[in-house]
Amino acid sequence: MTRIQKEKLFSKALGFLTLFACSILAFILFAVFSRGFSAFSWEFISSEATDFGAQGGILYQIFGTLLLMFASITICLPIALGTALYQSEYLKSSFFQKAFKIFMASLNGMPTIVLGLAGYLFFGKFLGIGVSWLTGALILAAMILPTAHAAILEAIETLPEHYQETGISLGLKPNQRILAVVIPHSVYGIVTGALLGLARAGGETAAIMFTATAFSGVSIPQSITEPVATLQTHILILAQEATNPTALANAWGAASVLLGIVFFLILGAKSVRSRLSWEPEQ
Amino acid sequence: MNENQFDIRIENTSLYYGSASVFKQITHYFASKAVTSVIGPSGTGKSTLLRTFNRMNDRIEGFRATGDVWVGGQNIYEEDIDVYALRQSVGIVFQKPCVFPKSIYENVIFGIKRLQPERKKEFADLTEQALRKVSLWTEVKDRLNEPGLSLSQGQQQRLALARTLISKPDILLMDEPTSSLDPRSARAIEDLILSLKENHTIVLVTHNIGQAKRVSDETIFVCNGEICESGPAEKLLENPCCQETRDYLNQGR
Amino acid sequence: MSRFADIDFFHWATFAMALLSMTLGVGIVAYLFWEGGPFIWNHGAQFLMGLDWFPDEEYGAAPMIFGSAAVTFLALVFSTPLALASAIYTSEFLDPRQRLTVKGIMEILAGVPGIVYGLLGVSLLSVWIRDVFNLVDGYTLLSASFLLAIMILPTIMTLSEDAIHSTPAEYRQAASGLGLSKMEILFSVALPHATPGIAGAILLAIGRAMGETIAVMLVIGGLDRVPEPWYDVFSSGQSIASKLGREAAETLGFGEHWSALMALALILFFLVMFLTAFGNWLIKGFRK
Repeated sequence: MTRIQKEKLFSKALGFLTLFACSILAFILFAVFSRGFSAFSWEFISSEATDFGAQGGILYQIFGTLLLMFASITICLPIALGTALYQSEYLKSSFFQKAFKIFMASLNGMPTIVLGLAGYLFFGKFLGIGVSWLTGALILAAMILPTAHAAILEAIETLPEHYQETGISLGLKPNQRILAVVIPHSVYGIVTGALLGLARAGGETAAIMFTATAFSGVSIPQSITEPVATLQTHILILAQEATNPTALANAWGAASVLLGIVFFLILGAKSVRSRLSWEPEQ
Repeated sequence: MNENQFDIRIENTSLYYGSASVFKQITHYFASKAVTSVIGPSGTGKSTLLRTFNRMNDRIEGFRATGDVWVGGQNIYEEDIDVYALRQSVGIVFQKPCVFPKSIYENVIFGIKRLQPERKKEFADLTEQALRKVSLWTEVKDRLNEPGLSLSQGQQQRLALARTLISKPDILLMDEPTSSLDPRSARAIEDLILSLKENHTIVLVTHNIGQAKRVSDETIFVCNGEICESGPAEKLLENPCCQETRDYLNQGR
Repeated sequence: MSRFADIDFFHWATFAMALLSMTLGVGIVAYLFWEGGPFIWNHGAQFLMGLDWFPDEEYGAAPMIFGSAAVTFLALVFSTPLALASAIYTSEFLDPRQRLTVKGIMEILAGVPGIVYGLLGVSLLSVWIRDVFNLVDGYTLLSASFLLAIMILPTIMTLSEDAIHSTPAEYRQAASGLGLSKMEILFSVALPHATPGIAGAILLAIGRAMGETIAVMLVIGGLDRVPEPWYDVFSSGQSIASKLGREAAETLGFGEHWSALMALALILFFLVMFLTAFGNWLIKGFRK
């Protein structure tokens, strides 16, 4: 066999494996949506669950998932933005710069179940919020902090130096410069970070399953100390009843909705990242 | 009004990056309401010197200045200096035109919008004045709301100058303002420099000896961390007395 | 100008936020030590090596530690070849647009929620495994490994691809100037350059696999026992994370059982932190 033939064979084999890796996504989408399709209807997403979730719809589950997502990003964004700005605009010490980087990387790698347990003990028990959607939102906020922080920091750090210098040379104070130069140019990072954070929060189960949710008898919470139902925990419970076909059908339906929400956010983040970065070619 | 508002004087000034010194004990009085060009080999710290006058180097870690740097009647490296006010009265134009991805109008008022918000009503007039000063007004008056980045490089550089001039600085620092422009736009900027020196003290860093001849009144030649030579532009450029200057000028020929 | 106007609001606001996030992280770690540390300290080897876990009687972590190691190792065995093959192909043989498409697909794959993998595992994968291998049920270490393999595929693939792709163009040019083919350039220049990055990617993936709870918990079988013989991948098992996921709710915050679980969490935390830190260090050190 010649070198050329060898190389051709090699690249064909690799190409085949790549195709296989990519088709895993197609398989997952097909497996979930084709099964979810039969359960899916307007009634399914607009009515409440009955018979412990085996019958009825997932209205409150959708609400709970969305509530946790948006509450957590609301808590997380100011902290992520503030931390990123402090790091890039004010913090001079390279020791602390490094400390922040290590800290964020560690928080990112932290197993979510551990975060959920520790977070429950702190927010739920120590601060007395109990098993509630607020506890869940606080835990999720901590969980998605590194995601949002990384996207924002990347946007700030890629801000071209000459914009910063122009801001300085006009006599802008640091806070004016942040408002006039840094934040407008980092909008896409903030939006990307928010969308990715939302997607991660929406896909998380372990951190909220015994800290923020209840399975049945929950509707719209009346106060911050009440638990909610979520799509994730709904699927979790139904999945363990694999022998009951209607329950399983509802699980696939809920999984389709959840997957739809998460994908929508990730695709949104991807398109924002490529379109909103408005630094022109120089 | 401060009678020294146009002054730049450095006395026994040394500039350092960390432990490496860029300039050692240099002293020079810059001519008021005139153009002083700074020439010298690359890497000798001409830009560093220029950026010392409005403390743009503060951001660079390890940068230090000792000795006296008097700008507009203030010793600007003293502690209680309002560095932001200083930068408003000492404008700077960089090598590459820096235009924000905003409209032409927003670019011109970029600084004063935040620094003098109480004068909001005057912004339109001030914009017109500033754009007229840089002879850009007739070209852009009908499209002030179009993106600043739609202008040509030469126009962008004049826009950057207008953005600086709108806050009425007394001193203008120019860091190779024409080096990224085509010859015609460069000429336009040179003409502007000549018209601006009536009311401004201008310090110009340039690599272009012809430009130094055309626009400057005084010239200083920097090399090896010191000011080797300074004097009237005509004399220094035609008939230098220092060997380094002669070598440098001969290279360009 | 008044002194008040000089106070930089942003400085303090952002400092407060930075402090908050640091405190949060340090607080969580300190808390884990507080709750789990004494238990490890008091029971030591008995806890780490113990083979049985009966709440309120004895707590042996060995089955869980073994389970975590076993499923993670198997997942790597399944995932790494596929991930590396696609990383190489994507970096070296695809044009820029196709490359972004493949990476986009991987990014989306990485976003599939763990619970969806869990559902797929319970209702499809475990049934297949039961039928193919003729088992009583399909909740085995092998099932969990398969799921994990898919879950860590994007991590390894994306980060390895970055590493391979970042090989400096000068190196490639020099090599191709000598007459080397694409494949030869890959093995002689690109892969050696990317090795630390690939190693880092694998470490991060191990960290991710060890921390994954929900999908593993649904298919691993939940049996706190080291399989007999130990290499029997068709037996049920338990990983540290799945143990926490199953039992933490029963005892939230109280008693010895809780302390034992927190000790497990602490072990998991240390393993994952070590892997993540080392992995990140490899990836970054090599980017410079």
